[in-house]
Amino acid sequence: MVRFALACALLLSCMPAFAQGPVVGDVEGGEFRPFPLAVAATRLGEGAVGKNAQADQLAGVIKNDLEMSGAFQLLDKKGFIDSDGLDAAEVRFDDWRNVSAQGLVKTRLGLQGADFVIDVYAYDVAAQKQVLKKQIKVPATDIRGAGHQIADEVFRAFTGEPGVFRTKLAVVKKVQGEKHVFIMDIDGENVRQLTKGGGLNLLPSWAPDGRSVLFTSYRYENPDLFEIGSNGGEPKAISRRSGLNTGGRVSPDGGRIAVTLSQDGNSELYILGRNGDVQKRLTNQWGIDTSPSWSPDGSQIAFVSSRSGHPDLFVVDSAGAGAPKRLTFKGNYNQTPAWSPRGTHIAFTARDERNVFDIFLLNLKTNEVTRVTQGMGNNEEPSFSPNGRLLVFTTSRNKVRQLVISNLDGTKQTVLPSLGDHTSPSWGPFPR
Amino acid sequence: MPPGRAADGASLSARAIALGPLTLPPMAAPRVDLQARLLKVALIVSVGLHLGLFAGWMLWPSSTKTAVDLDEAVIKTRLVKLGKPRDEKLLPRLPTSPPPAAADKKAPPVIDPAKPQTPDTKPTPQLPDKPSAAEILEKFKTDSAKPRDINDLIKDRIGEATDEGREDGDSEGTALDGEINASYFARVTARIQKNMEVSSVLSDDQRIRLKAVLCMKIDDVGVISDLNVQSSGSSVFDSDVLSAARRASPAPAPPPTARQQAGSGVCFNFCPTSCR
Repeated sequence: MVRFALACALLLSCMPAFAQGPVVGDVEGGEFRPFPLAVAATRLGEGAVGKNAQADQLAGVIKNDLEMSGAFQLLDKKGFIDSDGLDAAEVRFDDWRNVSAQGLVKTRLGLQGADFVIDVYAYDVAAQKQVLKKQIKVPATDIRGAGHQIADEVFRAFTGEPGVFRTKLAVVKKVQGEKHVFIMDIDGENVRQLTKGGGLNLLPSWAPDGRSVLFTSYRYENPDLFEIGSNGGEPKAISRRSGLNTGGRVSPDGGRIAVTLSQDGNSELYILGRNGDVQKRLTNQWGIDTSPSWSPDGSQIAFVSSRSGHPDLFVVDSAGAGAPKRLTFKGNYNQTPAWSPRGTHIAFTARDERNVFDIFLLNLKTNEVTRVTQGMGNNEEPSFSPNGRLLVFTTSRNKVRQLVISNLDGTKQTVLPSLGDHTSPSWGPFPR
Repeated sequence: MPPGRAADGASLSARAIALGPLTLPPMAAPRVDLQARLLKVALIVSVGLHLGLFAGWMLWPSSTKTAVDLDEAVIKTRLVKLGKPRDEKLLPRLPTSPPPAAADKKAPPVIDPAKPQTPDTKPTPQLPDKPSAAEILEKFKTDSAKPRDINDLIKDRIGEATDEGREDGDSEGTALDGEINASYFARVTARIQKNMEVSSVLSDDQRIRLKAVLCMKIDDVGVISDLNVQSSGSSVFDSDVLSAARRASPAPAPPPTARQQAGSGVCFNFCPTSCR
């Protein structure tokens, strides 16, 4: 008993005299700010002597990805000296804290045969805690892919959510008088042409499994709906009905396709099977109904209709139950809806009173409309990243049509370097 | 020329020679003297009046200071375009001007619901000329105010020393104490809020779910110390909370009535979105 009392006394004496007291106020919210992150230069490990160019490229891809996400603020490498070790026991956290780093990423590049072996370490500097330790093995020819993979791992380590740096964009580019569907990495690199021939190939949209892309093509002198494998090949006709067969979107469960058909003389929304058979006509109205976008659970479809006298966003039950419900009441030209994978927002293009097209977000819970872009040319055709944190859209801010990756409040917008006139971007799903 | 005219001119010249040099009539001399004297007097009066006006202009206390007082606080102004509020049917526009000033400098007094309010049956007599709690707090905020001034004001308000309590008060002090203390901690909360930055790496789920409690001590001049965070479960958010408190120090100095509580430790809830 005496020993127990002594132990308690010793324990109490060792406890710091923390302040305690009544709760006198609530501090709620605050300015969101990017997380200050230091990404150290990639070190060369076993077998990688002389691979400085690949090491620099690796660190560059990681930094570019994380910065583009808008969640991190990458510290300038001139602002710190990376002289400590890679393992937790060797990291001098106080030094990193002194340069205002809250997070730290270190990598080491090794070579085993034809593969790079990369050790990745990530630390929460404030908590002095290792949040990631992983070894990645990639073909030595795919250093960019390794960088995207590491960026995904780091993003998940700090946010708890999956990164999107290995996902792909499908986009239409003008090539020698024709328009074709291209696929590229989300940093605008690794561009490859998906469609060949057919003159105009428009409005690409990924299937949820990422294995194929729907698009509209005029290859038979009519806007028909086709599907093509994400690795290319011969397109398969889905709908070649007379009139429009456009804006095809595969449902989240992969079993249905929402599409605009004008076979009866007016543009209406239909649900097709994956082989193109009509399952349901969703709208039947004098106005033009087009641009369907599935809700994440597949129960609803947002679309554009002119039934109110000008283009506005509406939503309809995907099983056809009930009448469509109007969603937008501000502005008089709202189009190209994209439903957030989180189900909370719909991004869309709207023309404001200055006759400029910009990107807006509709909060489905509050019906509040917020602006993402302003004063930077025309910005159109948004598409959500699969984790719902980012948007891709087109912009004319630099005269030619380019792609922009933006966070949802528009505070971090990155114009992709890919050359050419881009339209109709579609953000692909997570890789499987 | 007619002979008659020539004769008239000759006769005039002859008369002038006969009179000699030209002289004024005998009655004109006193009038000239009078005019000269009047002129002198007018000149003297005029000069005197001008000097008086100039001296008055020089010595009159000026309503505006011509010299720049470097100790005077800078008043920041912002030009705004007056007009109709934006049509609700128009799409929103992003703000193009800096956000309005932080609320902590003019935080309205907050009544602490925890403090017992005066019961209806015994209304506290309050004369209109008594200083309000907000006025006392405003006085407290001015640099020139001394604690003694505050005590005098409080005494003036309630007519007795605050530390003795009132018949309808509680053992910890008067209702006014609670009002002032609540106002003070509202200002501290606002100051921390102004310095609060939430990391973008927090997930949506974390932004809704997380809650940290930060306890601290605030000394007599407002310096925050002895920070102790009861973890939210996210080291990133905990770090945001600690950083906000460090940036907020020094907080407003506590009024005499709140010093003991602030010095012995108080806590604040922190939530990325809402604590409710």
